[in-house]
Amino acid sequence: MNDSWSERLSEYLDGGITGEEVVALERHLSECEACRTALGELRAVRLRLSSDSVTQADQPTPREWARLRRSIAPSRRRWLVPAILAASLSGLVVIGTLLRPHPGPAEPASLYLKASSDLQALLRDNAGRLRPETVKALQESMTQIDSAVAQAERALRADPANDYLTRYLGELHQARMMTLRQAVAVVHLRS
Amino acid sequence: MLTALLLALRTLQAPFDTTIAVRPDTRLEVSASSGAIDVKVWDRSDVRIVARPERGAVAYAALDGAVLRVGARVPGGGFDLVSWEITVPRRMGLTLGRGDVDITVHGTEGSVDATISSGLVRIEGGRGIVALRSFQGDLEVRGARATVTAESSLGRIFIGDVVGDLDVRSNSNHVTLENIDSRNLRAASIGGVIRFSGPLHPDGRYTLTAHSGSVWVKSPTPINATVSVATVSGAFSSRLSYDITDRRRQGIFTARFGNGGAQVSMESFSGGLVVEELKPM
Repeated sequence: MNDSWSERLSEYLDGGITGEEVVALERHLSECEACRTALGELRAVRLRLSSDSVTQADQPTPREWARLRRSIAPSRRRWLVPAILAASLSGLVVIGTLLRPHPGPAEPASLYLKASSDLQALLRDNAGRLRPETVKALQESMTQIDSAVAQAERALRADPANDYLTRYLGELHQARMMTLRQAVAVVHLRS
Repeated sequence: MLTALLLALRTLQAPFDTTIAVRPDTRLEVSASSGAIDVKVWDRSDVRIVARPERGAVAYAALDGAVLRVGARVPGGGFDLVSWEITVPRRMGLTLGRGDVDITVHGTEGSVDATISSGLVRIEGGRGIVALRSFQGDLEVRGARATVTAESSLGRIFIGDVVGDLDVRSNSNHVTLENIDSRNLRAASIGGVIRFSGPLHPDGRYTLTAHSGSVWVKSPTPINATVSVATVSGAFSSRLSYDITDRRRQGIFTARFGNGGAQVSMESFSGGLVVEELKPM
């Protein structure tokens, strides 16, 4: 994608290219797969940035739900390996579930709590793979996030119709899953 | 079809120095468990790779179609420790990472994708998409003309002198966005402070969310923005003139600056929310 048009894809999305240049760029796009891919990525990022709500694309597919269910099967040992592979997926699934207006095919809240607690258990079991300072920093971060979650939950109990708090609580859960997911990825890297 | 070309293998601890001709669309992928990756640019269509391996690591560089794969193997297994100095065509796309690595990129005009677990990522330049991720390390981007995404669980994030869309999150640390020219911006932190400075475009959308830390927005006057404020126990403050246009409940209201052009959302559960004038340097 190392061509003069590749740098102008943002400008194209902004409507900053007009007339003959648009025709030339779109002709180029029809011939350049790399630029088409880059344009698609840019569009996806922009869609995410400009949207306050979870889009259909963020929702888990039935196949992903099946994978998630397998990943949180009761046996810890059965769960450990697929959990690492499914960690990023489970984060997306849980976040999408928390923010979606209608519940999914499973029980979203319990699913989230199970996935979250299993990730924590996985980290506890593998703490030896992380540096002591990393474990300490992770614990501090989780304490911070859990404290924020508790504060937001208290505030929401006092003001259940507060849209900001409802949405914000979802974002905190998202942040919590992101931290757990990244920690699991580090464990995986050191395995 | 895989057309890997193994260009060089060296014995233990020996320096590795090779130069490889690449096509304009070739992307560089460097995979390192630990050490440092330093990338500079030049106006040639070659990639020069200099590696200083330790702990018995053996460096390699293999051209695989449109990807130049660079890394190191440790005979018998284990983590490689290598200092990489790589010079690439100015516009070459870069994928760098992945372990406890310090990554520095100087003056690139290509896209950058960098992932570390700990260390530091420092990018100067960047076009198209600059995507950085870390668990524990700090992330810095300066001078990009790109869509920038940066995500760190524990590390600090600094983005400066950037033109383009931004999506930035640090869970436990500060997020500083300095001299940013963006029309789509999202920044979030739970444990840190968020600072943004730059113009607020009439067609722009800016979302800044913190928990215990404050959110600071500094922009050249006159500021024309509709600022949606949300807080539980924090406070909103600005010395500039504004009107409250929609107060739905305690801590949630809209402040209109000027003609209200830009859409700005400022949220902090318990921190301050401040809009200030950005004075010319």
